[in-house]
Amino acid sequence: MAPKKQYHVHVDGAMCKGTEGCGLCLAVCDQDVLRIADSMNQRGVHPVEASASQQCNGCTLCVLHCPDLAIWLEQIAAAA
Amino acid sequence: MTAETRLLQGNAACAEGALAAGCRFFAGYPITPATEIAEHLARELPPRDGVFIQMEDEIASMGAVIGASWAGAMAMTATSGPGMSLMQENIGYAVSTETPCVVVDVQRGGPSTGIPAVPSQSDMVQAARGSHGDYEIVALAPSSAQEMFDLTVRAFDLAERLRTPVLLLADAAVGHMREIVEIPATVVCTPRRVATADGNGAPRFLDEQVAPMPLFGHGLKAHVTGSCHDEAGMRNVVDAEALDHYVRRLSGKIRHARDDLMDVRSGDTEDAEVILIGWGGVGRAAQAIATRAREAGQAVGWIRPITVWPFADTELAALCQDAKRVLVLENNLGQMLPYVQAAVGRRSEVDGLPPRILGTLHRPEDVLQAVAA
Amino acid sequence: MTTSTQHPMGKYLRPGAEATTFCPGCGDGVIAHSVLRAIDDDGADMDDFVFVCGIGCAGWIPSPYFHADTLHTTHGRPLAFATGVKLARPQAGVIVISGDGDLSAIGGNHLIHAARRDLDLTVICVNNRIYGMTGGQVAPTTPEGVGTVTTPYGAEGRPFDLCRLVEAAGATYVSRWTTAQPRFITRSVKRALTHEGFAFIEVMSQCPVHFGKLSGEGSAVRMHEIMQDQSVPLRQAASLSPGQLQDKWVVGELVGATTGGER
Repeated sequence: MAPKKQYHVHVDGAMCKGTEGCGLCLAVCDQDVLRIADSMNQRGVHPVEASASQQCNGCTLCVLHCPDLAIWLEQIAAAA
Repeated sequence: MTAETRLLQGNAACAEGALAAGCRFFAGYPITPATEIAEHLARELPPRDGVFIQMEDEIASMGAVIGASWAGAMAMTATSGPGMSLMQENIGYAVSTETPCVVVDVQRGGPSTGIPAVPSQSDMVQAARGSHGDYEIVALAPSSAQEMFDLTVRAFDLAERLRTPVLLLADAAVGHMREIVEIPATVVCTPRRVATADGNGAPRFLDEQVAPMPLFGHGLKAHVTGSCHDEAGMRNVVDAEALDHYVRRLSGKIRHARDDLMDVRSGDTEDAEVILIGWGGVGRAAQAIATRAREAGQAVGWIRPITVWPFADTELAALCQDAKRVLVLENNLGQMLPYVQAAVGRRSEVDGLPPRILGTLHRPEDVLQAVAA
Repeated sequence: MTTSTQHPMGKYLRPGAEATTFCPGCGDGVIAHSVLRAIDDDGADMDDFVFVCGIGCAGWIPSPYFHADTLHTTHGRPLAFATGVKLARPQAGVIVISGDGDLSAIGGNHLIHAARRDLDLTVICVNNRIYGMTGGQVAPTTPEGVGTVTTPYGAEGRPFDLCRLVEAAGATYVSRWTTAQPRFITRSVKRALTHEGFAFIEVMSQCPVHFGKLSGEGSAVRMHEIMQDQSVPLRQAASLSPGQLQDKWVVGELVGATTGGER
């Protein structure tokens, strides 16, 4: 069986507007890749962060549904 | 040098002047007494690879003119009072974005629908103040079919030089009269200065010396907005300082060029006791009546501003400084009048004189009677 | 997928662009992204286009974020300005992005005439069913009965079906999607760009701050779910009764679909 593709999920916390008003990425991800960060960005918002990139299956729903172009995927070398 | 001599209707002469200057885009809406301009260009633009489009209304017409100008075309529209009122928001947009274009207003009797085919000088104030906000407009007033040609050319030249809309204030009489027009072989029209990609942060807007225009299609990624903006064209709707800068720079650009714009004709003013002031077609009457009065031994002079905006306050003050009385002849209830009063009223007695019947020409006997009074 | 550390669409954005001014959860950003994806998929250059936009939140999709020639016009008039741009520069891909109020209320006359002329324009109508930027006033697309800030007793009158309106006026490509279908927005934009004629793409878009609150639909996430439930693909809609289609949105390429089109 071909090795599963691996992704690094990038989240630009500075662009993210947080989950109180948005949260679309969390809503569309069914792989529990994302969570709300403990840290706060410059806008006083807890952005989203990718805490479990290894669980990402590359569906890109988070990328497409983020209104702030804050999320993108980077395909990385598959685990052996 | 004259290339040809033609008997032309004023409106047709205007259209010919536009073509001679290089206009290749017209968007307009039918309205008496301006429609002949559109009809002439509907026939004459396509064979010159120009574009004519009748839009759904005057608001769309002015919008299309602005869009075409940003796409690189020398563009114009022609309308009358009611259409001009509709265009005002977009005229303000053209001022704000520094869009070169020409708007011809062949004035008619108002207010409202009024009388379409009767001449009136209904829009002097609307020309300057019809759009909201503080701004300076450039407006020229032709008095003959020849001037319809010449001043349309000049309007395009000024529009390109100053990157601003220029208004041509004609009226039903000037638009519809047929006179001999000398059409020169070539005309002078300043070519548009286009911004370059390596501008090194050079301003694209808000330069009192007139920034080169960042036309579409040149890879300049221009940002054009009627919102308050900075020299790069980027919107700032937050800072009052930005608004202050935007307003002052836009007005400053026109004021900076004021002396180059002024064209004021006059005669017999040096020793005149009474001076008749008139603009557009009425200016011809003022000159003719003043001349007749002179021949009868009266010390009467005349002034005809061709540039009606910016207002020729210093020029009028100089010409009228020794006159006892100034009579402002207008085919309205006095729209240029208050500006004349402000400019010369301290030294001369200023009165307005409409024709006995608004919408008709001033009769010499009525004017001379007022002079004698 | 990309190996850069920048968002793959970042190269199409004006340098120095910070976080957008859109409200959290606003559909505008999804549409911005979908449009840029179409341009990116096509391998097109932003310099091939002129973006024309009106007043309202949707007008801020290209202005100032897209790094391209952009004409941000007076309210309701982008189609008139776009007509001038296209006629004077036919080789430009002219894309109009504006809101439902801008295009169908104050701009309604220009909408029907631009469609009638079938001029080669791509028009993306961001329909959030409200006037968002000015604080939640009723729009011609607001559903009946919704209490907006100018219809506190309930909006009256049927809302426009914008797709049927422009089709009747003469548009030759018409599609409708929601922000819950971003890939299809991208596909429609690509088709619209090759379509020679007036191409109209209506995108139902969430405005959680005003419409969501006023209508009770709620948060961006909840509105997203509702949009999914409310969308009925065209082929499926053909077998449903008018009663079953009540309060639903038929999505798909409604006019001018290319062969092998929508499901």
